[in-house]
Amino acid sequence: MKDKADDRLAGLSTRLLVLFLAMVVVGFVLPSSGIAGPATTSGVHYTQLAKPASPQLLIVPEIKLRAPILPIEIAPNGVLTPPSDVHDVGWWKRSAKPGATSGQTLITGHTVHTGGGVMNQLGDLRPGSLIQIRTPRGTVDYRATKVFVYTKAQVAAHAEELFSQDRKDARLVLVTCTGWTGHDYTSNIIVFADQLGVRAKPGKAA
Amino acid sequence: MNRPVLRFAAIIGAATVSALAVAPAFGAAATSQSSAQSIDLTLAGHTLIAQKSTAANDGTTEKRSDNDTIPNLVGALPDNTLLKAAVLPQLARAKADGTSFACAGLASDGDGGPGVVTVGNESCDLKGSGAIPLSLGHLALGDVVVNSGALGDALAPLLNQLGGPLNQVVTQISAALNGTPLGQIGLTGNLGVISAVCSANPDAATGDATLADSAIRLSLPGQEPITLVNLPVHPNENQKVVGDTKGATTMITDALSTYLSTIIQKQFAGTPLATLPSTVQAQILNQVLDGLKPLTDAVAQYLAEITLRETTHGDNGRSIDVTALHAEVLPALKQQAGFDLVEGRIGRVTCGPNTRATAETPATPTQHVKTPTKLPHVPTVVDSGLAGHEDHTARNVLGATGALLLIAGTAGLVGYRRMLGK
Repeated sequence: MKDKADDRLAGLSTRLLVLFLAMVVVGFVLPSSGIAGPATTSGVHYTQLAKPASPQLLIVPEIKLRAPILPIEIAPNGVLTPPSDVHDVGWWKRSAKPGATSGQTLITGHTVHTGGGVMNQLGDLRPGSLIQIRTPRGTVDYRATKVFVYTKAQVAAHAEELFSQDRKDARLVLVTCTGWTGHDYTSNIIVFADQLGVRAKPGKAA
Repeated sequence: MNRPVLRFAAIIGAATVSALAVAPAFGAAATSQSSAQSIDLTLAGHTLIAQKSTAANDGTTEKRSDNDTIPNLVGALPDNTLLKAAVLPQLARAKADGTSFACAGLASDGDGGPGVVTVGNESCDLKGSGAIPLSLGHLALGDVVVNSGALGDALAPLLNQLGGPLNQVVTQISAALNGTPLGQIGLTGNLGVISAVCSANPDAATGDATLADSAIRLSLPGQEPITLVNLPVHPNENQKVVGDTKGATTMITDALSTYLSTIIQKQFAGTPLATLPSTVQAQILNQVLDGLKPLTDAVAQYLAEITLRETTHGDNGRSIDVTALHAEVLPALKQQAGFDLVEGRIGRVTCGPNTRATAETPATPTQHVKTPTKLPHVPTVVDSGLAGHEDHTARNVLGATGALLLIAGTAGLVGYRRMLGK
């Protein structure tokens, strides 16, 4: 009786081991969404959020970015610094909320020169890339329109244009650092994205 | 080994590996901590000032050191002839709710300046009315020249050709150099208000540094001081300061030329040098200056290594160490004797790592730091780059997972073998 139970246990262990190995093999073989190319927004219908909402989560499928969004504020010296945790991103809390019809939503995250920064791959985005922000009222889609690099001096010179809330249509601005010199970063990578809205449920196209 | 024992060993092994993987989450006895040090000066390896304020809270009681403010800089550095009155605020606090903060710096003794920097419900008083001249070090260039051996190397070919007594001439020039005001090349910090602040909660630590009206100058007796570098008001993290090396080189070379010329013309009566025609004396002078050029260039280039807002993040962003200004005079010539090597840090604070003492969620650090000035309309700098530091979390998790899989796999294989053996 005892031997039969042992045999069953041994058999179960073997099956579990085989299942584990099979899952590992399948995991390696199956293509991930990141390899399949940039996410597109064609053929999707959008509606607008009923009311602007605070951002909670930033999702950029193309660079596998998925990060909690924390509100941040400018220091008196004009410096905007992302949250200390390099896995989080910061939303300038006086910038536009997702769903707003005007202004700019400014989000920034760290680049770490040895890797591991939440926005280390931001420069890999291209116009057309999908960006999403989850809010308590729904997930708002954006489409990247421009990816470029400004030196720190250029950012300061164009600060109004880049970050002002006077803009008539809504725009998302993502910013991180680049240009590591061995002791400092000289420039910023900036991504502009147009707000598309919230994906309409099937049969409820706007 | 029978099966129950084997299974028990596998379970214990898996539990041990799992416990090791999560062990860091249960560390840190104190719930909050911070430290503040307005100034830390060492001269030729000897510590001049190093008072530090510290605070630590175990969840119920805050323990502090009693060095909140060093009374004044004059008292702390009595031999510094350039020094005027200055106050050195330093404040560290650690609270039972898991938050801590610190501020430290230097300000002249007067009204005005950027005012009071408030952290939490307490503040660092950083009033100041003007820049404070502070001597960062005197360079005994004569000693450096003599000790380097460059003088003998430069003169040897010429004096050998002339048949002159090399050792005698080198000795006389060296003695003369040591007796001239060349030994009074001064590196001066003209420092306004310098401050570093930090705050931390159980989740994160942040810090910043500000320098107002501050510059590093080079001076020689009888010459107008030159400004090597004006320090930026809002430096980036770990910003290195590069001085005006061309100006410093010119100043040092001019000084050397003037003094060597005087020495050759007036102090060498009775030596072969004094009887030489002026053109030959000029040739000797140029030879010496050429021979010393690598040295003067090195002195000018590495006169001071200055780092602003020197920042180290630790504990996955839960602790921070910020120094507003870290200056090291002649770091490349540390091994040379004969000059006063000064290393100083002004405004150094540390905050965290803190742990949560109660279920109450503390506010984020940015909400604790109140500023006396109106916030800017838009940001002008986005400081979103960090110098990398080793993060072993992923490696630890991977290692633990690998160990667990190894244990599970081994148990499975042993069971399989036993089954086949039946």
